Amino acid sequence: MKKILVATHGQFADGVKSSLSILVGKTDSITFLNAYVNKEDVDETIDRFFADAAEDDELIIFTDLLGGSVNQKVTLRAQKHHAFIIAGFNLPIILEVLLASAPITKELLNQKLEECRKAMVLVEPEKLATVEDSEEDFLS
Amino acid sequence: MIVALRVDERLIHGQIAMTWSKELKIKGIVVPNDEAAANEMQKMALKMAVPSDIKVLIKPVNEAIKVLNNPKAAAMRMLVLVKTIKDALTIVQNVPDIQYVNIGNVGKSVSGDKTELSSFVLLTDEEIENLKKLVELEPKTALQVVPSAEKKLAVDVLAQLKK
Repeated sequence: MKKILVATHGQFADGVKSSLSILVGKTDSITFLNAYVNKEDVDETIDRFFADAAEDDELIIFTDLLGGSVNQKVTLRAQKHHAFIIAGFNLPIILEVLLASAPITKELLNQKLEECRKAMVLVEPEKLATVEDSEEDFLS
Repeated sequence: MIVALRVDERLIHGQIAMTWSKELKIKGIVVPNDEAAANEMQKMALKMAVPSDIKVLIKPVNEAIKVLNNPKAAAMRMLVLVKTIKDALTIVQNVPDIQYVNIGNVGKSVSGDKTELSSFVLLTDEEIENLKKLVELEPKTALQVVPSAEKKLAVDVLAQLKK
């Protein structure tokens, strides 16, 4: 089974949960860790995520900052669990991983990451060519 | 092949671009909408939302019907997105073989008296009448906001209203 952990500084993780519940509905397979804002013990939540994982589970961890302490904590523990860690995530990459039907491999993640990096762009509508909506092009 | 006709007042947005498009494995999105087709900025904004491997066609309702009835359209997995139940009814009356008629987000942006059919579907009396006609033609029409959410048959939801 695919198991995802979203670990962030502050309530960013719960914000992601809110967005995902609108975009995809259920978020049961995801653990959300909001570090340093409530009494929740960060180490304990991370340990529980790994402890609850079965041998054949696919573990994917998203953190908000590559250099952050949350990322450091998961990196240390992920070593022996074959978990993939993606730092500096955006919403598209979480959706891509969550909705992927193929097994999660390093190759697949690299390919998805490349696509999703393109989703963070300066929006310049004036540069988008206004192409005529053509039936022929659409059905070709 | 029209894998789904969805009523969604936000037309192409996150739920469509990310979730439905994957679930339905579509290659094209057709948006039959008179106002959007006449507004270049809106067309651009809608197209920006779509993944690059999916084609988009935004046309007035009557022109979109011609495209959907083009024999070539049978070879392409398509999602058709309309803003109102009225437009959905027009499509269903003029285009055969629609696999799934789906009611998504409707009515939040419409002003006036509305009846709440679900937290995502709020309809004026006129739209309720349109839905009744739609259900007669397509009995499997269902309310469903995202693929993982529960699918409620519109006919059952309408029956509840009468009580």
